[in-house]
Amino acid sequence: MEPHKLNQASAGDEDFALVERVLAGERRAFEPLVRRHERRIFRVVLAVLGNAEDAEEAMQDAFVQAFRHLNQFRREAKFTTWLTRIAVNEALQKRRARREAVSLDDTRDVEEPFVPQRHQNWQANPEKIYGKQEMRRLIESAIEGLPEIYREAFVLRDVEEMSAEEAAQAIGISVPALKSRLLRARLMVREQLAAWLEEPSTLRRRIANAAADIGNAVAVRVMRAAGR
Amino acid sequence: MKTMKCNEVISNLSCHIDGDGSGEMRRAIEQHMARCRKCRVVSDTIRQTLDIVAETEPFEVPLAVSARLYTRLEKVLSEDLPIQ
Repeated sequence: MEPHKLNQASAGDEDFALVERVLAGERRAFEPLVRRHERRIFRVVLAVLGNAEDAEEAMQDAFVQAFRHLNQFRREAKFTTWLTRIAVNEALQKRRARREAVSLDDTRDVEEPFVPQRHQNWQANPEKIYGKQEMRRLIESAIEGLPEIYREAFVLRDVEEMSAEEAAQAIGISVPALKSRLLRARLMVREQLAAWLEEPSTLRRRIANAAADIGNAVAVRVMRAAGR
Repeated sequence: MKTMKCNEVISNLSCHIDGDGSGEMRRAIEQHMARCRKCRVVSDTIRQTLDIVAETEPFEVPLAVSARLYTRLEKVLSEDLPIQ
């Protein structure tokens, strides 16, 4: 069975068992540990760095660091969380170095709120239409298209499913900043996917939607007038 | 209860999706959603986005990239350095 197919609890147990074996002197047991996590770690560092060449280097360094400091892993945390944090650190260090070299800075948060433009419902089972591979490609390209501060927030929180606190700590920003970046990232990814996943727009549906939207606008005015 | 506008609902959407924020805020958002189709669609499709993302497995690491990783690890694992 492939690692991602395992349920989380038993996957965590297997990680612990492999870590124990490495620490007991069976250094080769680190290799299956890497195999279990390389895809995820590559995705994480790619999200932070945005190019495959730097991501490859960061991934290698992350696994080397993880191996050399395996004694510092505490079982209170999941191995994946610990490893992901190391990988994010490596990637951020690379990014800082790269930025110093080219003095590039696109890490500022945008002040204006993101306004969603698409308001159609989506089809219920898009993978039936596009297939798994194509869906994966659509998701990856929507994530890839995000500016990096939004991309890393989205990948750590929504793809890697870290808690907001863990993700904020890994990136080195406050929890409110993480949450605000995450919301923008979610809205942007949604907007990208909407182009592919919206229900086909029939005349009947357009009229129904327009009627609902007008009805709402009227209701809002009435409620305001009534002082609610 | 205060009537929320669409832009307020959108900027506080995490309350609705992640259950953050005060109960009062969440109730105000729900009240708005009950009659605003557009905000409901945005919220529903964000949830759908998150479901799709959660179900999507990462791509394989490119073969050459993976091969170079294992070559480097091979060297590191055979070093005689203690694990810290």
